[in-house]
Amino acid sequence: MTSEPALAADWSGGKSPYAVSHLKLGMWLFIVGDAFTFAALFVGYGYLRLGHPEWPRPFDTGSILQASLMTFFLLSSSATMAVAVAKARKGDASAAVQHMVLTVIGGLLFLIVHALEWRHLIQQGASLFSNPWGVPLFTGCFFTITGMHMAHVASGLVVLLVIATKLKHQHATADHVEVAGLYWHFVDLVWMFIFPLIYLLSMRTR
Amino acid sequence: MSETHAEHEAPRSFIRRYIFSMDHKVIGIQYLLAMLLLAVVGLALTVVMRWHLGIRTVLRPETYLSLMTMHASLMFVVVTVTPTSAFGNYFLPLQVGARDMAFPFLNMLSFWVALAAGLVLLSSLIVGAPISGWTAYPPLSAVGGVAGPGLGLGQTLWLVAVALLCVSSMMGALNFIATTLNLRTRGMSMMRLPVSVWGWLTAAVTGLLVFPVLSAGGIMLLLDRLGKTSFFVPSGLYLGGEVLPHQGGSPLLWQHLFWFFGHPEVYIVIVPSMCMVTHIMANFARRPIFGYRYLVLSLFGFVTLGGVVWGHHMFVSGMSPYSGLAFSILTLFVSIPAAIFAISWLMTLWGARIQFRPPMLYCLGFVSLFISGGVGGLFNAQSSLDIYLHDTYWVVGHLHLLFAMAAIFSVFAAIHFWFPKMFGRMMNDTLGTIHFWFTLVGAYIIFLTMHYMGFLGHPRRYAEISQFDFLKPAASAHTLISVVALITAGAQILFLFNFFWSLFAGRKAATNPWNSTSLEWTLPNPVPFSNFERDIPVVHRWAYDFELPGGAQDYEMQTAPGPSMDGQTGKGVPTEKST
Amino acid sequence: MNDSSATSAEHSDSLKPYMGTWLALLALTLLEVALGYVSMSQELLMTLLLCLSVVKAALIMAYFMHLKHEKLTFVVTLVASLLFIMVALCGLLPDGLRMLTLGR
Ligand code: HEM
Ligand SMILES: [Cu+2]
Repeated sequence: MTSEPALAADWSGGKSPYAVSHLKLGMWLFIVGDAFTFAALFVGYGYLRLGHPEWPRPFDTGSILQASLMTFFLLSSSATMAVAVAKARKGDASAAVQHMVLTVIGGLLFLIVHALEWRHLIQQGASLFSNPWGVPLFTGCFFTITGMHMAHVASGLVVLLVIATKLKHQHATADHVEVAGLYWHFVDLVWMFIFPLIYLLSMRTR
Repeated sequence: MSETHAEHEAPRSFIRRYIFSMDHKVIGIQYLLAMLLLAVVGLALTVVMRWHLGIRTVLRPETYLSLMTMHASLMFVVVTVTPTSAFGNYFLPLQVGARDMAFPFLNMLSFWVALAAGLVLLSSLIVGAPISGWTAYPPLSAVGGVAGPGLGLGQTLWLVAVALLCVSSMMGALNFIATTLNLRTRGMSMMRLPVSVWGWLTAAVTGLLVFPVLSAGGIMLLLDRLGKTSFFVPSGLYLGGEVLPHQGGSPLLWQHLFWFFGHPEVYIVIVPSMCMVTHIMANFARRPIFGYRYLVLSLFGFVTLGGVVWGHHMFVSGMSPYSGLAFSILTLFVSIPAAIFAISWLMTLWGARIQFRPPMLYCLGFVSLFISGGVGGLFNAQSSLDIYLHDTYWVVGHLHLLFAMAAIFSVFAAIHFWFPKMFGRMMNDTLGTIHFWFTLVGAYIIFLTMHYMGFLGHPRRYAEISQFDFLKPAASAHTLISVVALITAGAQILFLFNFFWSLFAGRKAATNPWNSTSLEWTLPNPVPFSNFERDIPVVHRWAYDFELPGGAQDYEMQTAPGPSMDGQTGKGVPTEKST
Repeated sequence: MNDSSATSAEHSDSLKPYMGTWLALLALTLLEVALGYVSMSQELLMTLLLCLSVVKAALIMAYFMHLKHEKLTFVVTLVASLLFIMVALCGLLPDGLRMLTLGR
């Protein structure tokens, strides 16, 4: 084909109207759906918080620094993942695998710091149904949303490890890396909302 | 066109071929049979319930409520899954001209997860089913066994089933969307898709948008039950002799999340039903569909409006009256896309030489039920009226006319219409016609009477009414409903017999017994493993070129070249030469 | 589907955009943390934080997730459906306030 096909022809069958593979389209659709799960959890959180003006705000500078560190790890792992995808696209499998390993390390660091944080909170008496700071729903929401996110991070790590191994043995293609990357970036993206809405808005100030 | 999927050989072993199959056709049939089974169980439960309500009191009140919950939940799964997952699975790839779904493995998984959902649901019947109804309103559903029978393990299993259904539906939705967008054959532009494909696509899109919200609500409800959080439980509930530990939650939040899913859910059911009916009806009216473009537009209308009207289920919930006003007005807008469909049906039928074969009869029944039920919807939609009607049998009548009867009629139509392609044999016309009349008349008597009982003020979900003076007049209505319900339920045996008998002894079907136009009818019976034996055909027209002047036949297959009535041919659509 | 890989390959030569995005995201995060220490009403803080988060999300989607290099129709489809549901969901938020008057 010589000229750019008209818009109408994109939709006339025989090809992908969005010029994306099934795999990528499928992953994007999944991401859209999964985003709504988080959106609904967030809206539930907002709803309950509106009903409780006395919502606790217990996070001190130490906690915020810790959460910022977690953000740093996750953001950096997203960046290395983006590089891994670029390398895989260029056909440089070993560099791609290296960057995926870096990504996994970033994800693991995130999980470790997060787990330490959870342990610290639990030691202070926080649980799903009560906490020392006031409205019990505070920790209910906190553990539910961050727990859901942690589960996503953990499953993302599994996916990354599987794809990296396969890539190393040339059982996976750049497309697979890209799609795994999409999921990983999405997990990162969700955290971009958790960090301000859950942590920063519950900061102990003044 | 690269075809990484479906390039695989037909599997040889029985298990890979018919049990853990990745072939969309086998999966479609698996869905159909599994849902038939659930439907039979759900129907059997109503027989018991109607016996109890109208003939003799045989159940304890809590047992009645358990049965009611199970009936509704089972049927909910049946109507959600059947139109799209059974027929869509089998016929969407055929109608768009693909060798399989985009993700065959996911497709298989989605069936097995759906089956697991059905079985878990059934198992809650064994351990004691919840009494909280298909909407599982908290606090009853959120605080565990203290709240009543079946609200312990039974309710937990119920929630697990819902979660599984969410997962399965998500996988299905992904697959349907990717297939419809990416795998259409050349010439099959969006505006040439059979309407049925549009219906499946719309259902998938809607499902993708709202099932996640239900899963979020489900997770929160599970945590309330298992983790003692209080998302949906207010402070100070006193149950079973003690104050519950929960604090500070809001039952209203569940209602919001549930109905945010729940209203679009009725479109997930009815939109593919409407579209299948539209498709089948054109065939037996031998008429081009009236206003195809407007139908597609109104599908967009259904999806968007569907997302902003959920509050009409909550007019008496204590929701802000201002939201109530907004939801009321928005809901009335729904009648616009609905009316567009109704007008299209009537115009397609207008002056047509209708062939009254069973698939067409069910379609006509569908149209009738849809319009009657829709009129009831207009009453519900006005908050001032609904405050009286809500929580009465009126709503039961409304939802059954649409959610239950109309949806099931479309399934009957689809089964009769596509049976020849699925199983290579014809179903019996006489049995189909008798079954149709029994079911249609029965449905109307039962559910119109329920509307009347609603006007009397008869509340929903009452196991027993003899204590209430104001409900005395309803007693005879109950008896009438029960008698008719038993007859109608009995008439379903005609259908089951017809189905299974035709499976083995029906007349052998020709390739295209209905003189139909879409791609599946170009394929031999049984449809080969990779659908299209050699090349996938190029499409030259929409699927509704009936009533052609002159010529030996009054229709053209989608694969036939030449001028068409779809208004698109020759405009930027590739023909064989262009590549 | 060949054309899609061709377009993304063109852009994957340079790693600079990724570094830039990463730095921008870190800077925005710092800004968010700093905002948390400025005294202002909770509502204003929330609005500002949400806006910044949307910017961050957009950066991630555009650069890390390559939406910038996808077809416009694809981007519009995705973003429109995301926005639609999220905005619609917010319709239930006002009832949170009802808890104050109706009990909780
Ligand atoms: C013009 C179209 C329609 C309008 C305006 C409409 C309106 C309503 C309203 C306002 C209610 C709430 C009544 C109440 O609970 O007091 C309702 C209930 C219901 N509608 Fe519709 N409806 C329409 C079509 C449909 C369709 C097509 C279906 C299903 C296929 C459907 C299924 C249901 C169900 C299942 C319920 C009951 C839910 C429950 O409380 O258990 N409706 N409808
Ligand atoms: Cu509704």
